[in-house]
Amino acid sequence: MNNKLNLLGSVTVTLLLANSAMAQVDPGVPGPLDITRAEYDYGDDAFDFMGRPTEIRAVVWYPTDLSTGPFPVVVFLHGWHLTCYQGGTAFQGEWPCNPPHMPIPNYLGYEYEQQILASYGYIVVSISANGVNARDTQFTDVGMLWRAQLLQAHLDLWNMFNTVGGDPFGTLFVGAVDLTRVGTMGHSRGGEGVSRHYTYNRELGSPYGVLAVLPLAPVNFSRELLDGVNINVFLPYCDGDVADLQGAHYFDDARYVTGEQFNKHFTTIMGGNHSYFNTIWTPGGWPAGTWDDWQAFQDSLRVDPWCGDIQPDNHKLTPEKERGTFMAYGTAFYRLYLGGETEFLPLLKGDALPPPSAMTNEILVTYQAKDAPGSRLDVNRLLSDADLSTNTLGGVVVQNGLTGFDLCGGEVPQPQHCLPTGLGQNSLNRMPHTTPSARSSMRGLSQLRFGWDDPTGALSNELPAGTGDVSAYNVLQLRSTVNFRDPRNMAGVPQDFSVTLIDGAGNSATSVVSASSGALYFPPGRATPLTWAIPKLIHNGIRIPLSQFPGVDLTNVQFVLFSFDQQPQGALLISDILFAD
Amino acid sequence: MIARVIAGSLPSWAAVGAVVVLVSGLAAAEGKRTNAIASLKAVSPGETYEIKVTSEEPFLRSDLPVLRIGDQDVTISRAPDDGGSYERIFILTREQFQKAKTGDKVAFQWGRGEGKRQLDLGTLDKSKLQQ
Repeated sequence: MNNKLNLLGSVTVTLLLANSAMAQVDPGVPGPLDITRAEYDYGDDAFDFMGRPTEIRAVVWYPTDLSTGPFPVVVFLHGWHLTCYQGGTAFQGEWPCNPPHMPIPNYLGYEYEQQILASYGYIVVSISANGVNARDTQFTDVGMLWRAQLLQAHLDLWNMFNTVGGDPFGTLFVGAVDLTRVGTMGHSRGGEGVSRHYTYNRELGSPYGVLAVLPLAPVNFSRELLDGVNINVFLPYCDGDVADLQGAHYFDDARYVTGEQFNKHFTTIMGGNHSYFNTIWTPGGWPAGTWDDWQAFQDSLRVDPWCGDIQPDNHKLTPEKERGTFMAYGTAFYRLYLGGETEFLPLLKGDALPPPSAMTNEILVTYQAKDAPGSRLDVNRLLSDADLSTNTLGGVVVQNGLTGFDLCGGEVPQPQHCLPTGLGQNSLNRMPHTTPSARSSMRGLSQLRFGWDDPTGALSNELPAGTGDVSAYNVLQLRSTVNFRDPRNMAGVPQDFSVTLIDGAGNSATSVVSASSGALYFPPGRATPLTWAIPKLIHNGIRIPLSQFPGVDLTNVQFVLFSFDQQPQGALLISDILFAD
Repeated sequence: MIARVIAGSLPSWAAVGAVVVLVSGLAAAEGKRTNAIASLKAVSPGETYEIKVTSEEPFLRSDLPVLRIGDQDVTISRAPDDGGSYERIFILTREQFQKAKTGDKVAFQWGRGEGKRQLDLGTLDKSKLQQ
């Protein structure tokens, strides 16, 4: 099955995907169950955090027939936004709203996804956090513990609804709520909020079974480690607000936790912005305080050929299409990890085409399997200089004809960033994997940086005797991005290279990356002005099915060889070479 | 299939159709705005100090608002009392205020770290401290 991933207008990258991996079911279309909407509201000051009033208020969508439960619970937490409005004017820092100002219902912005999930048998609660937003910057953690405790208070309410009942529902939900299967989604600052909630719930002894956390265009100030849970981080390429896509750290930081038994994903949405995921924040969605963040904070004239929306053939998603990506990939995530619908795992690995509900094919999915036999075999983690000569399996690493060839972005002594950083140029916005964190000094993703000047360049990783049985795995996997600052890459032209597996008897087979992945696109966007947040380096996943290496004895692979012979010259950044399920 | 609604209702404002240029409807958006230090005030004398800054760009992003005074990052802040988006009040501890010197460069940026785009707000003048 060919998937035409049209990047940069005239450039078409072909994704060759295994027919067997096709998603048979579209997760984002309405499901079979009748659903019902309700709200609960305990008032603007029902919750107190260090003397600050906070509302307990939420909108709920749930299966109308609760007798077939108990149902898993998913809680949504919106991000920072203006809190109050009057007519066409919005106000920030105010809570409760001073009459005649009225609350902006930021929590109502995700009902499109609440309805989809509810129709498959989930109780989906979107909570209001205007009280937090009004004063979160008065705390060094930017209100993240506050958000965590507020979310936990809602789960405590649902525990009450499930056991003895309570206002406003009476006994409606008694016995209908499965709090051992809880998912969360947090948007923007809410993304770190649900991450902090995950660790907070764990600090309390895990009274609720949080199994799936989805940070949506999140901030990552504190570098919470999301181990012990499945995650799917949404990264919209045209985010003009959290423009450095600092949420990439959630995935990067969690990928090599020893013994980790949960999967990690991130989803790059190439035309997505920050605000359209929330209907209330979208122009036209509320009388005051709405914007397109790409236009408001990056490109006021909307002229960028990719993220601006006035150029012909631009790739900016409409609000409807952007929400489609959440409906498809968010719903699949919860249905997989809360509902056990394993048929969606190929979609979340990047092995299946985006379903129609996503409304765009310009989505790249990256996957890190749990640390378990048969799930993942790390060949070269590329974390330290030692990995440039001896890989994670103890095999010899040899390069030929590659220039540069160093590690960047990781721990000292690596340079902190992989591209030059000019003062005032906002260049960090173009390097999500190494962008600094506001409350942490942690370094970012360690990346192999190199280029080649002729098509003889090559990189070989040996699998030592006793480690070369990869027959239990489905793919050879790595992550990579095209170095858009290096003139050896032609602007607008995707990169490509050959991958060869060689077994102990000398049999070999070769495939090219472009046959399996569109990840080696030339990062789109105008290079100037330098203050804009694109183009970006994003280490998207590349998965090459082992079925593309016929004739190789997969029980005795001896070498993984990358040959940079598909373009006369080029420059790439690579991370995480491994075999995976 | 969506069956019925038993409580609450879907928003009725969908037809409002707000007109948006860049950012619609912000408080205190009138008048000419500049990037500047508007005031320096001792709030709890000897304990905390507040620097109010103004900007020609609204303080509306989700990243952390950071005021750089010399080599110090001030990250605790609040919105002004009128809820406006073109002013921000940063709160300095006593130690931060004592370390700051007249003549220190003052700049605003979103998030921490070198290489960020900055709004130049001028230099600090501690003689303008309001008690």
